[in-house]
Amino acid sequence: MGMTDKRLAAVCLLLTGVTLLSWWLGNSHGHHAFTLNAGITLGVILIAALKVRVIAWEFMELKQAPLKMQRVADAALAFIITVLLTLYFVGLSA
Amino acid sequence: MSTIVATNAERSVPGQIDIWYFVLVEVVIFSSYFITYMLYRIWDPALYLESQAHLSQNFGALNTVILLVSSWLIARGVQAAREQRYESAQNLVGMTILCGVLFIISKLFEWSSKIQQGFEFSTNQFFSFYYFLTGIHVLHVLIGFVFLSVVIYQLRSPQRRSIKVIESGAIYWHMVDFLWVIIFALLYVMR
Repeated sequence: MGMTDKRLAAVCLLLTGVTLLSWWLGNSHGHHAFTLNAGITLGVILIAALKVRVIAWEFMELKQAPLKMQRVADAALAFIITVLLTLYFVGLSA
Repeated sequence: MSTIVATNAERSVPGQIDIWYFVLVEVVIFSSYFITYMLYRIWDPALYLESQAHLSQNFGALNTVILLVSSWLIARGVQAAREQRYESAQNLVGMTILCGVLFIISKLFEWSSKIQQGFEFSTNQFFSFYYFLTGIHVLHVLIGFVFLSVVIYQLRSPQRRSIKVIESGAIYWHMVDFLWVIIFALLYVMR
């Protein structure tokens, strides 16, 4: 297994690990815990953002793309995550 | 994990530039769906939470892992093609398609189980979003099969092989994967 294959395997393991963490966060309070929970929501959405960033950088190979492309990708991800979290927290305080 | 930083001279656009414009358009469209979902959700969080309790978290996590593994396989396929290990690349793309088929089977199973429990598109707003978002995503998985079939077609003959086209097919498939990552977070796990 070459360096690149090892790196891809490590990325896949990392992504699977954080998915299981996300799944555990959603299950950790039992089946009856479907109540508003800002901590879980914040954690789950940030984990999703991390996963999207890792998929884009490692699997889609944005890590070696021109800087302008990287900036557009990061700006788009930061924008959507900020809008989603802002709406959620505005909704909580309303 | 070691960090590989490309110098300016080494930087290049992976795949064809057109596929990136396509990905950008898809990201804008799906982002509008996600924002609309969140807007409706904050008006009636109780309905969404109560409805979410009827989804299978295990199915959602399983779907995510299937797509992550498929992304890993196609990334290895691209690598194999670059190293001119074309047979291995074909096998890896074939396994990627198999993961896509597994994903669709598990989605069909999940949908039929929800319908049997009485949760349909018209049941409430949450389930309308659930069927719409998962349905439009499955449609993208099906389109992904076309992209991956083109990749296999390219790999089969030395005259046709274009690494840029192979990379583009993989980029589309990774997009299908990361869109699901956000759908999983919003529909299944957030509270």
